[in-house]
Amino acid sequence: MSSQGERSAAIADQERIEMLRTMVRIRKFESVIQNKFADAEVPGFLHLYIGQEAIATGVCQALEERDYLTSTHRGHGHCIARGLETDRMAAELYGKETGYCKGKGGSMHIADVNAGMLGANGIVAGGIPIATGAALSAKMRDTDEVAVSFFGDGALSEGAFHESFNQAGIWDLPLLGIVENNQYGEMTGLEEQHPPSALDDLTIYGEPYGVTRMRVDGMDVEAVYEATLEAVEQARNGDGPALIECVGYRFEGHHEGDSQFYRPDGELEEWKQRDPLLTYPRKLIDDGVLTEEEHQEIEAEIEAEIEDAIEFARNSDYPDPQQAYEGVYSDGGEQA
Amino acid sequence: MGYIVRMPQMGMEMDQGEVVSWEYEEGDAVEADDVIVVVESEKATNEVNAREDGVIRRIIVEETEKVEPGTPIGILAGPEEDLAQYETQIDASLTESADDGDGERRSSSGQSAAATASATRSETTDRAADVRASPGAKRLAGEEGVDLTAVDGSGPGGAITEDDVEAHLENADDATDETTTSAASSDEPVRASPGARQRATAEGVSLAAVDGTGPGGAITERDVEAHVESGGETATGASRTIRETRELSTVQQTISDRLGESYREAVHVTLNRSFPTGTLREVKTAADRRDLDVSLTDLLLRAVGTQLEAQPEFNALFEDGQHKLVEEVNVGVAVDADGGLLTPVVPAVSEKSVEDVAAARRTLTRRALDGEASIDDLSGGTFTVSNLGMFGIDDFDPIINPPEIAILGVGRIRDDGTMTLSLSFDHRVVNGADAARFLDGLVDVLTAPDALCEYFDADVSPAPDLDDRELRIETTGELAGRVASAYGTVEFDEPEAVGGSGSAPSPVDHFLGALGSCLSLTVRQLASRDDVGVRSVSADVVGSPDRGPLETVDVRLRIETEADVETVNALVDEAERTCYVARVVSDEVPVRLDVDVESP
Repeated sequence: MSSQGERSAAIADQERIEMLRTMVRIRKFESVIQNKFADAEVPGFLHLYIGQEAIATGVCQALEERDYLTSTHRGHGHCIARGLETDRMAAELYGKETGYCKGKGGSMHIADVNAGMLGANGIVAGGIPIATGAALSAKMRDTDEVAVSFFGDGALSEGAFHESFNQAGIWDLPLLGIVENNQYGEMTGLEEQHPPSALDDLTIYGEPYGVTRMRVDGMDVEAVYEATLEAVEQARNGDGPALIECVGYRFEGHHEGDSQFYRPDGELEEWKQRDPLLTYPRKLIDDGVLTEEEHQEIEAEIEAEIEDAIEFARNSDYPDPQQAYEGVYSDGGEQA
Repeated sequence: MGYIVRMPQMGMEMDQGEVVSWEYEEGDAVEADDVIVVVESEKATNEVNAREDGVIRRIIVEETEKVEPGTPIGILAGPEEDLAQYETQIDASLTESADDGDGERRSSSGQSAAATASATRSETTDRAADVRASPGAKRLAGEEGVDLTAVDGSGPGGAITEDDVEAHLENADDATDETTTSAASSDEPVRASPGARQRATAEGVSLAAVDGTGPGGAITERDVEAHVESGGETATGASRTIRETRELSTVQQTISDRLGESYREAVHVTLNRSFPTGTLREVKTAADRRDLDVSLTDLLLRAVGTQLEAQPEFNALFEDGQHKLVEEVNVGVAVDADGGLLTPVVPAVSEKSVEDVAAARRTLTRRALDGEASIDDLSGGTFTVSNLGMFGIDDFDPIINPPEIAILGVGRIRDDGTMTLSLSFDHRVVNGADAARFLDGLVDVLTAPDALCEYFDADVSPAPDLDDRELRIETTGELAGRVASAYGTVEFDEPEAVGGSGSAPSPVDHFLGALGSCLSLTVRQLASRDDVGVRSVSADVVGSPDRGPLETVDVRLRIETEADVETVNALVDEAERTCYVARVVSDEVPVRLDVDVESP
């Protein structure tokens, strides 16, 4: 893992502030939704991204609008980092017709094809073949678009991962896999689901497919950003797929209501010392990129935005039952 | 700021949450992240943290009350803050769920304070309660004018699929056909091919009696033929003629009532645990060698007593919805008596030596077998052990003997030396992990020689830690004791004349025996070395006088051989010099050696 200090000078101040804003937006959105879910306002299941904000933010900052991404069951962070609106996301979580999927998808299925966001996915590793298809499409259409797939450490032992990266390796597809190693696959610790030889570097799973392998500190948004930039550039140049392991930590349970019996005492507290929402603003203030007042303003501004988003969701209507018949079949495969 | 504290939603399958305990009282100040209330859902207990600093201004739902997730359970607000806005919200959410929406809601869940989310859910349920049908089924029903409530659903949760509607339409046609073609139409429409119908009419066969082998169970012409060939409706099924009706004996009636009640009421779960019985059998053998009348069942009973002490939740009764832990450990033993199954109870098992357990069990069992068991013999049990091992049973799921909450089934010792213990427990009262621990603890004892030996009053411990020529002498009385060696134990005792009980050889006898044995063996060894054919060697040893210190020892060796006397005397001379025991004998006590040579 390379350290943050030696490279950050290259990142423009404006980008750094943007990344901070994105991380704050993810955290605030989810913290509010967490309470609304507990209050039984939000139906369904809820998997929170809290703690992993630096990963989605750093990766998406390195992408262009024309690129694609696929997400997971823990997808709010990816959506927000991709630039999806928090009001329509909240509406989707509330099951309202103003949501991204007309309220029919919920937390685990937010998609906005127009934004290149090919969907969150309730199936572990389910997004990887989709991103692989997007990468193949990019290559066949002779563009320099790149497809990025976010997935967790648990997805590495899924067949879909291996099938996809095997194919991407053979055809040099512009596919970028982001392994979000948050230390747990559902409620199972890393060391209980991967062989000892893989624990120090989960990208070893990509070795036979000839992918470029990188491993970064997932609590360090700039490290994630720079690694992604490098991998994206390589993919755009037709040099094939890459796998980046971002080592981070999930601050909340697998899902809301998870009693987290499996977490050793003190582990969470230790990781929280490295919370990017604590360390990054401090760093930007120390570097003179931001003042304390500006930081407070960002927080307040985004808090207000999220409040509005919740109001928007609450005040929206539920979809007409007739909507259940809509969007079931493709309309003939037109490109979005 | 402040907010309404609500029963948290803790996952999708949660219907209700219980307020287990409020950690603060009304009026207490709390800080953000303090645990303010502990709640419990069907699956988990969770702590609810304060979302911000404030004061617990109101507790709406008291401890042990249960409410739906999202229901207001309290108000956290500033110390002086006006609570009107929260109260309005609470009222609003109550009424909102009652008359929310577009006028389509048919049921009111007025008591539900869960806001819009739960209201929508119940709305879907209401509609679903009408008819559950797939969109395709609804479309087809609409086109064909079919009333969906009349269609049987075969989809998930009884939902009506398109196929169901089609089948319904088809059946309606069939039913019409049948009324026109056959007067004997049954209530259930029969699916049959036109050929089959013709054939059935011709043969006078009712289609309802024919098994269909065609698609979807439809009857084909061939099915009708097969039915006719097999003798069709004239064939009779197996008949049952009651030969004798027996009333249950009183004992069996009681067993019937109690076990029936137990099986209906108690949630039976049985855990099986196998273990190697090597240790258990070794200890039993050691006990046998000491003529102790202790069976494997007794050892098991005694070990069960220990485990029941360690886990008193199993030494218990379940009566009137209460789990009553009992002080005394009284273990019932199922006995296959003539009159039926009896379970005499061995009282205070954990306080008894295994010999006493054995004695008590033998007496009780004998009385039960002889039909002499008293009510006292059969009552007061807190746990039961049932052993079917002697019938060759590997393992079985015993039924709990109410009001006890668990029973241990014991299987046979298999050829590989393992035995299975089966613990049935009432899952209403204790849980699987508890039962697993019970079996684990029990097996720990049954595989630990020291633990088992401690159950005996007598010392049964083999001394496996001794080496050759290493002996452990223990005195068990004033003038008696035993010598433990790596190969077992020998006892010693003084004769009655000198104050002992004369139950075993005296130490001097043991010494004289050792001397005679060693001399005999040495003669044999030397003979073998020199290729002297010796048939047998035996010895008589006499120490004198017969009381007090030894003054002389006479050894008479009898050697059966074809060798000449000279050769034999040479052998014996050498044996006298080299015999290891003879060599430690003091010169002050003369050993006189005579030899009888016998020709075979």
